[in-house]
Amino acid sequence: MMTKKKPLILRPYHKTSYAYEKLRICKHCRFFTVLWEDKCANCGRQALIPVMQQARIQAKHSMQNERLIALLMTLAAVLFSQTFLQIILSLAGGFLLTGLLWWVQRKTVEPETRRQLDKLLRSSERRIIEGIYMNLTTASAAIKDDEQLGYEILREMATIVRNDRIRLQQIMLLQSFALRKDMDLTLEPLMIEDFEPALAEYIGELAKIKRELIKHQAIRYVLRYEREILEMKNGSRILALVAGAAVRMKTYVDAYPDFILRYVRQMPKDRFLRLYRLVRRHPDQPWNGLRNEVSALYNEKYRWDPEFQNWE
Amino acid sequence: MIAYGCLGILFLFIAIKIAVYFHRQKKAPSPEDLDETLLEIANPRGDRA
Ligand SMILES: [Zn+2]
Repeated sequence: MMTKKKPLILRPYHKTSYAYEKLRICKHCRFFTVLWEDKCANCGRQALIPVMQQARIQAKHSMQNERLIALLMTLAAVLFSQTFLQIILSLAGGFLLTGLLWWVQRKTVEPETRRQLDKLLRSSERRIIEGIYMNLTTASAAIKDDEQLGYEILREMATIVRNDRIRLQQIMLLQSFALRKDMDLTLEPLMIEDFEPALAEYIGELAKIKRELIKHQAIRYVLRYEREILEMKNGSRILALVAGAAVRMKTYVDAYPDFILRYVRQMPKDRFLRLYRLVRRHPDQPWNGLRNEVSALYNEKYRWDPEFQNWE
Repeated sequence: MIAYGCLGILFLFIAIKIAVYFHRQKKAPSPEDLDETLLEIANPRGDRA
């Protein structure tokens, strides 16, 4: 895969606490979308609002209707009053009760909104799927002439659509870009179960430019498919890079000493230095032979290296 | 007397509504429930991980 990689600046991804915060609905035609377009793709109007906002409107609307009914009953009581005292009592009682209802409503707006959103989602199942399908069509059209936009669309879709196909598409697109440290990259949401060379390559690339993303899940993935990765053209390099990223924390050395041992000799110097310092800091840990191997390699190659001398 | 009858009905209406609101408040779905509902709709055939 020595195709030319494109340099680019990815737009930042706004992570939301909940997936439904990404979903918007058209107030006019009730079409759903996950993307950030201004106009509804179905009716062309600028009427897209977050589903939560729509649910709140519905909740407040039904609350308003109830207050209206209460006021109408008050009015009826006033109209049927036969004495001035009855009018006063009807007005006072009616307003007091309506006020009480209003107070309770204000206190329960949030749970009512969530209840309305639940109703909205469950009653719109088909339209939500249609909206997602439309968004995916937009994505595949975008991929053809603007891969970056295509990736950004897929990244947005992936908050709601979770399957290996959309993950793999993102990985493929990422692999066609020249990735940089300052990019807003992720790994965990893209992890797939099966062996996929593109994912292995992507993990290798991250191990080089964004080590902090290499965690247990990624290490376990390369371990599970170590044989397959070794059959890839630069497979052993990928594994050495991942092992090099793993030595940044003691937890990973504790968990995967055998794996690190297998690739310690292919690690870049700065990663070996990191491992060497870690080993020196923990004199009581044999790490399944890793400690001996580190000492041996140090004696062979780095004994006279000044960087290895002043390590504290 | 009809005026008091109206007020009585209003009282009942409000009492029931308030009881319903507090009952729903207890049973309202959490944001996590809503997320799950949406993900189930968006990923049919159980092909999500
Ligand atoms: Zn519309």
